[in-house]
Amino acid sequence: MTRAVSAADLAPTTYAWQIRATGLKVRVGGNRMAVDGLDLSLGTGVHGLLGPNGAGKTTLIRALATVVRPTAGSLELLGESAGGRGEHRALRRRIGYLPQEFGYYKRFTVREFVEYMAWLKEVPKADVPGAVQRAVERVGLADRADDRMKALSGGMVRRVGIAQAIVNDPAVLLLDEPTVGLDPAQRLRFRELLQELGRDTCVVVSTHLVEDVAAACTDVVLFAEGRLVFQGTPDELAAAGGPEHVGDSPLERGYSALLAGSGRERGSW
Amino acid sequence: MNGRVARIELRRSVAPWAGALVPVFALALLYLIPGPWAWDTVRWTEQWTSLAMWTRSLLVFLWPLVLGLGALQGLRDHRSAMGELLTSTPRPAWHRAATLAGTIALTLVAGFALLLVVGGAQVLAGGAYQHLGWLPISLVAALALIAAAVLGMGLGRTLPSPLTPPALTVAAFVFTNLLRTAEGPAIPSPAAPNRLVLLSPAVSQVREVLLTLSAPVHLGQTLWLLGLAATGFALLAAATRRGRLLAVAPVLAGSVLALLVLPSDPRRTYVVDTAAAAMVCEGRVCVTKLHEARLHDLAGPGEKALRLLHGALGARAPVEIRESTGLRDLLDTPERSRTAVLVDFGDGAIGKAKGEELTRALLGQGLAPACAPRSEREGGSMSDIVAQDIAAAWVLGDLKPLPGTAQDPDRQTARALPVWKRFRALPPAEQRARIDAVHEAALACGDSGALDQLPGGASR
Amino acid sequence: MRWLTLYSRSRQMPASFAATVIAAVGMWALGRGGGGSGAASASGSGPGDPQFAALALTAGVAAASVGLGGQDLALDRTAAIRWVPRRAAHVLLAAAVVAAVALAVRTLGDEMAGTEFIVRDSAGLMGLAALGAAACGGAYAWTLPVLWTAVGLFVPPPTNTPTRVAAWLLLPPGTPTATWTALTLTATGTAAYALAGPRGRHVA
Repeated sequence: MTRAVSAADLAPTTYAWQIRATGLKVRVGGNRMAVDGLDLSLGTGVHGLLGPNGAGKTTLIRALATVVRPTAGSLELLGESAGGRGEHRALRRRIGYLPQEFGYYKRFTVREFVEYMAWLKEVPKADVPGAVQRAVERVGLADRADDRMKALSGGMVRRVGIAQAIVNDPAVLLLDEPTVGLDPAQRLRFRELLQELGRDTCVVVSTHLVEDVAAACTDVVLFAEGRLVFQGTPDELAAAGGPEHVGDSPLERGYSALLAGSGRERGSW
Repeated sequence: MNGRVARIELRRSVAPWAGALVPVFALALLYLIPGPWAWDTVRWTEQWTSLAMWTRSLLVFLWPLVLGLGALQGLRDHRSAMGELLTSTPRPAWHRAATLAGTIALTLVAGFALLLVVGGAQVLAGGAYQHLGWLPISLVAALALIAAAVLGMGLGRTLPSPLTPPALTVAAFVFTNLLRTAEGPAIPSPAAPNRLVLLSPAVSQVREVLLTLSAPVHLGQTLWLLGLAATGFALLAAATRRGRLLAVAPVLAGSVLALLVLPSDPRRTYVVDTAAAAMVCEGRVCVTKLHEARLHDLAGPGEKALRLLHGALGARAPVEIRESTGLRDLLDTPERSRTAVLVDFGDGAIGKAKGEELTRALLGQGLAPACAPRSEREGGSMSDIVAQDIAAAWVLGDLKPLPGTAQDPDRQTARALPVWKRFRALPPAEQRARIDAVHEAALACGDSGALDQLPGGASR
Repeated sequence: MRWLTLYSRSRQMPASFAATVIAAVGMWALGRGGGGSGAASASGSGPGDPQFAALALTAGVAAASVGLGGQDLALDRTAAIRWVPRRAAHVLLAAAVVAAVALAVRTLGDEMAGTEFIVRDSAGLMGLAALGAAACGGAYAWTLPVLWTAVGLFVPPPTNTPTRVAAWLLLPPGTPTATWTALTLTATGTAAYALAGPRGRHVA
């Protein structure tokens, strides 16, 4: 098995943005548009995807992961249209994805699971052992690599999820709520990892936790009711809020200010 | 198929369990529970065909179990909630399905092969008829196991409920059990239409060792099982509703083709293996190729018995000893012949005897061939064997019971002794006449039995 | 009552119950429709062929056994409820339901099997399933009763105590060996499951 992306790896990139959505609409269930006319361009860096519950973050990430097909509009990933039919095989080799509900085979060991995922992502056979070892080390699970998954704690499982997402050195890395279940020390370590990855990868991190964004993201995407509310640096987000807005930190105040401004935040939760 | 990934599946899927289950349960049943599979001439390790048929008959319960195990494996993606992650990966679903199906097929074949090796070593040691005609029977069995596992995985993935594995297993078990073929008739006969019955991979238990399965049966069952396996595989790999609907096509095609090929008549299902039934002779003593190993031990006593018979009956004496190859229903009267002493090695009086004892049994069988069949499944009758005891004693001069049958030797003696004493008191010419009458009555198997021809022999 | 409703739903009881009824009616229909001679190679056919009843009860127990696992083991284990009596009650109740369904189907017309036979077999099989759940987890609980039925239907008519134990399911009611085997299985199975609970899942 040879890797079909080698040509794409070597050629100069023919796209300006790793992720580019224009008028993107994604329908979930019967007729609810979870993503409703989104225009978004994301390049290299760590992008924090913020938004209230039900804003459509998960649906957007699933569309980016080519799991759901866009209903309307265009979605370009790495210069290739991800909207149409087809297997997106070459594209999927270059995507890393950690779903919100990360399922895993409980009888597998950590190493076996990450190796299995590397195989599914069509990592060249010769590179697999090295890539697996690197991924497991990067999430700090080298000493538990040969433990069964069912013996791991919730935080460790989440880290295995991150390891499988990065095992193929993706150009687009999609992490849906990656910090759930991580203890504070692990969260710090995870932010470092994000910054490291963000140097050459387009990382999209969906989260509820504004402080994660402040610490690790180069860019914030604020999302509500399926539409883009704000895109800019964490500093710009902080600047949007004033003392009159709800929140314990400048970022949180900026977050509330923007959502209140868009008139979209309803209810006390 | 990727070797490393296959090794992971080999360790973490149900593959090792499936591979272990087949030989462990089969051997536990064959060795721990006494049954016809342990009886001399039909024993599962006696002949290659018997080995293949017995191990195949175990599919009555192994096949549903493997199906259930497959379904458990098919539930894995659902239970682990892996669907989301799997959808986002580039590798086509059928690669995954093929690796999984491949490992399970490998362990199942290895497990079944182990069973055959355990049995085959004993067949080899026992001097059986060497041939390869049994191989298709076992190959179809292995294919059936693979098809069951793959179909189970496909159905488990399509219907991801914890009820699926037990429901499939029980349903398959009802299927194989209702379509079981009774081995009692001369040709194993099912109650349901023969073609339908042949869709069950299990076969009848062994009673007539010369029977084997015909080529159309192998072909038809192979087509049907390939259809089942292809449907299972398609279900395992299908990603869309349409794919799942299309997956039904192979099994439909397979069953239609199979029903065209499979024989409708049980007599074209179970057929006599003519090569195995061919006679090999040493002098005037002939046995089937199947039992050639027994010929040498039979020839000496047989020749002696023929000489003694000639002395006793003169021109009307049988001129040869031949193994009976006629198929008959359970408890039906065995084949008769005026010119030959017909022997059946299933009859313990002959099958287990050696030397002088065998000569005596052959004399008894030659003078008063048994009407009630004696075999591992059939006990014969006391009056038959007592008539044989006395007829043989008339030639040899002393009364001895024939051991090796269901009829207790002491009870034989108790029954025979008074008759023998009265018989011995008769003048020689009268003795001769009575023996002639015994011979005729035994050949006719009419209302008046062989023993009835002797003084005091008539049943009360 | 609400607790019971939630509990039963969390253990897929409605689906299991439906499967039990379908199996019982199906086997009754097969047993009536002259199927009696089909499989009766070794055991001999005739009126009251016990294999259909045994198969129906096995199917019912297999379906009911799915509920022995529970949805979330960790949650079940930590919930502050006295599980031991409840688990024992679950096993015995499931056996009672399986038997009741078979008895109810019997009123459709044909005598499938005697009451004692049905009660004995469903209790013994359910005990076996409970034993399976305690030993290998709820998802695998069905394997033990199904296996034993399979072996029982395969072996020739029993002649001595070990084979009578092996074929206890099919023996006529009142056979001491069969009754004792069933009782032992019910008691050990219920006790093991009540005390240990279902074992954690293996294959996932």
